[in-house]
Amino acid sequence: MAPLLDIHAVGVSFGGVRALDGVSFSTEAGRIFSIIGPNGAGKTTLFNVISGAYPAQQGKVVIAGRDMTTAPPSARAALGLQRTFQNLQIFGTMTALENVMVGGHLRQRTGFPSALLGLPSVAAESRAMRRRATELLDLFDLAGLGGAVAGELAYGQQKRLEIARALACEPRILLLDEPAAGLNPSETEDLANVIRRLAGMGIAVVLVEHDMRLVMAISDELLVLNFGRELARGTPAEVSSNPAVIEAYLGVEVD
Amino acid sequence: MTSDTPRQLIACAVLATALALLPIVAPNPYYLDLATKACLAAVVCIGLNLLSGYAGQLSLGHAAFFGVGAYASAILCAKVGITPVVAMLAGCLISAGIAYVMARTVLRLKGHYLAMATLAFGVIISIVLNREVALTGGPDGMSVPRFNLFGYRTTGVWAGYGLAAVALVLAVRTAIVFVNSRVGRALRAIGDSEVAAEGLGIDIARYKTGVFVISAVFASVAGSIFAHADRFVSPAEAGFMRSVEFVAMIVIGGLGSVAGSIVGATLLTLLPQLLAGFDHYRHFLTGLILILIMIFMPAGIVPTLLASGRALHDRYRPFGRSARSVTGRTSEG
Amino acid sequence: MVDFLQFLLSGITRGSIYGLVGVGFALIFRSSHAINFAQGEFVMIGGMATVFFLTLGLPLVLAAAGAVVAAALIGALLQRLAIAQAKNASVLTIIIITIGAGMMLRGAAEIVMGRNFHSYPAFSGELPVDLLGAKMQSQSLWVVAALVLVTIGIHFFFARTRLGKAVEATFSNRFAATVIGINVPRILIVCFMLSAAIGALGGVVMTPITLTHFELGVPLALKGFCAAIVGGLTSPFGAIIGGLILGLSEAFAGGYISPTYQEAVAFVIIIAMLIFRPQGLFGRRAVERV
Repeated sequence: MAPLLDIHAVGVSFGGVRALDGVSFSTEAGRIFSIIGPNGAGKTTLFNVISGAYPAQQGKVVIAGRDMTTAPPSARAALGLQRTFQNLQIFGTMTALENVMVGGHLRQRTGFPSALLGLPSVAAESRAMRRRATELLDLFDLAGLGGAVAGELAYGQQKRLEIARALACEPRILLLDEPAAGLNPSETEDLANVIRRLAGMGIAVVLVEHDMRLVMAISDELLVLNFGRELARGTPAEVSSNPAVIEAYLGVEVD
Repeated sequence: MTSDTPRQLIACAVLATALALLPIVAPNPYYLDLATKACLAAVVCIGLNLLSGYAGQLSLGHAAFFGVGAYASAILCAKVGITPVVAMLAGCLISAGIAYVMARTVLRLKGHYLAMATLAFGVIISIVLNREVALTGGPDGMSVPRFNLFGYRTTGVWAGYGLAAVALVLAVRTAIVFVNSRVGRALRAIGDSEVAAEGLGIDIARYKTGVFVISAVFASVAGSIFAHADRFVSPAEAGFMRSVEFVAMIVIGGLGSVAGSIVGATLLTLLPQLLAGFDHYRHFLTGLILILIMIFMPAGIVPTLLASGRALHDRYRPFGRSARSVTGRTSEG
Repeated sequence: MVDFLQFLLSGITRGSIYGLVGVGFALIFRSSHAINFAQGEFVMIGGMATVFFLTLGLPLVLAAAGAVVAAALIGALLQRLAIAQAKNASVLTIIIITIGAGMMLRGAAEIVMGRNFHSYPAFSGELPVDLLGAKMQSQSLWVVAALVLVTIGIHFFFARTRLGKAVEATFSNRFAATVIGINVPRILIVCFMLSAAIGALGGVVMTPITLTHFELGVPLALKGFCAAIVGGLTSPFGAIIGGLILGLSEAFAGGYISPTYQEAVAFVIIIAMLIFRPQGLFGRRAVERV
């Protein structure tokens, strides 16, 4: 069986600078796969190539067995890929509840004609979506904030809201871009539990993260990037004992 | 918030009642004529607001769609002898077709490109209306037959007003349901963050094209009704300054607010009449009022009033957070 | 050949007028990312104020200078009293404020000067200049000269003066400009004054050809805006070249094809431009960062 997400030798250059060079990895449902590396190693670029924000110049991105290398983000989302953003991309003028409802876009049907005619099915669909969105808000400790304008929520709440929104369309692959950035230790602990639970639901979680303690605690597999290339790959134990990694990156952290 | 929808539909019923009572309260052809114009401008603005206030795209040529509707009705009814309802639908089809082609070519570009394309297109339409004298009567305009439905002829300002009022109520209801549907939420999401919307599987180009076509059809219907209500059309109705006026109406009333569209349209339609007594000072004062509103209520009249109403409300309910209705939304265009 | 030359000359005159109007759009868009819908009114004021000062008995040079200074002051007031007051306003709000300002200026002109057309004699007499059989009004030379003057002036301003460099810095990064100590609010005022003065100068030299009227600004602003779009909207030089392109296209299209749709040429060019080269001739394509 083909892996759920298969990245094959992707390369991207920005005006002569190799941001990514022959990076490959694949992951499966229910696994937590983390990408680490120093700033500028190409982690977010890799995320953008996977989600379709810009295309890979070399290599292939295969999602659920389909070659999506040049497909737009919306087509990748239709195959079950979702992401969060390092610099939050909340729908700031909509309510928290509406944010999550938009997250379920692909799970709903209403098109322009029925929306214009205001068919009974439209309101029924919105009601069902609102119920699901309310459950998701509860799950992420945002109960009671559904009516609040998302742009006015606290930072930590916005981060959780973004994950809740991504989950609303029941993704098979979830890319989380630095979810722990700006969280305090107890919030990070909660986040670790959430991520484990997502993997337990059968989602393939792909994580870019700087918080080594978190990454080492929850990952099934790690990819270490350095200057756009793979430096090491393996389980947390393998990676943390890899001499090249210790020298280039982890040395400071492990001591 | 969809929990607001019934409340908004009640507001819709209140609006319908008020519009129905107006001719009884003010049985004066002059007032009715003004009310007709305000209603039709509001229909255009509600459509335009879906485009600008929700999906965040600016149009500087919406009067051209109004003009297409008006002249389609005028020419098809007066010169071809087609029945008005069919002429109105034909106008909608033409407007929708033009909007679709424009959106497909220009909307993939980010930034103010749609604004520039709509501006250029709008001016071209108004030049065509001015120059094709044989068809349109040129700058002098042309007269339009009365509206009739299944052979029932309608007469007087009452009929024009009735049509405009019905169109406004339908437009309000359509917009409210639309905005609170999956499609409306997707559009508002696009207005807030295109990157995130696309990542959630929203086909941005398709949605922007769709809402642009819809807003063009709203303007076209208003134009057709205007032609029959006024029994006369002239190219000035499709001109650039009219387009700018429509934009000013939605910004002043409030972007992303159906009620704001009505308030803005009514205010800017009535203002020149209210200031008529000042004669030469009229333009000057209209401009001054426009600037003052923008300085003191940059979010527009309705959102600003709603926000202060909410603040007052929250003060007496310190733990209850009132839900925001769609009409309370504000965003950049 | 004489036809060609005639169209060329009239195209250059038209183009220079559009360029003079377009420069102001580009300057203001460059500094504040807003479209100034009162730009045409600055041009109108240039002509109207000159007429006004002439009726007070001032000599032409003083009347013209007075008109340009008056327009610059109005530009500063518009920025200071209206636009700067709308704090944290969106670009759209600023656009509506300029629309309101345009109405006020049209209204003011109507109050002071009435609804009639006004003009004054051409600067160097009414005799046309003969060029290889083609004729042009001597005033056209003044229009072209004004455009050349403005081009050189802008080049000098941006390349040589501290103020010009500060404007550039504000354009590329307003935040960074503030950090390095540039007084950004003052820069914005300067840009409005400059746009107003250049527009008014255009109005001063074109009025003997175009006449002036309180509503003259609107159609002129449309063409000037098109010129700025062709030039990429952020480049003053682009707007000048864009204006010349539009003027020449109109003149040749009107001469060789048909005068009926001469007025539409500029807008057809805009649409073609948006399809084939959306960033304009001299604009840079924005690079999107996620």
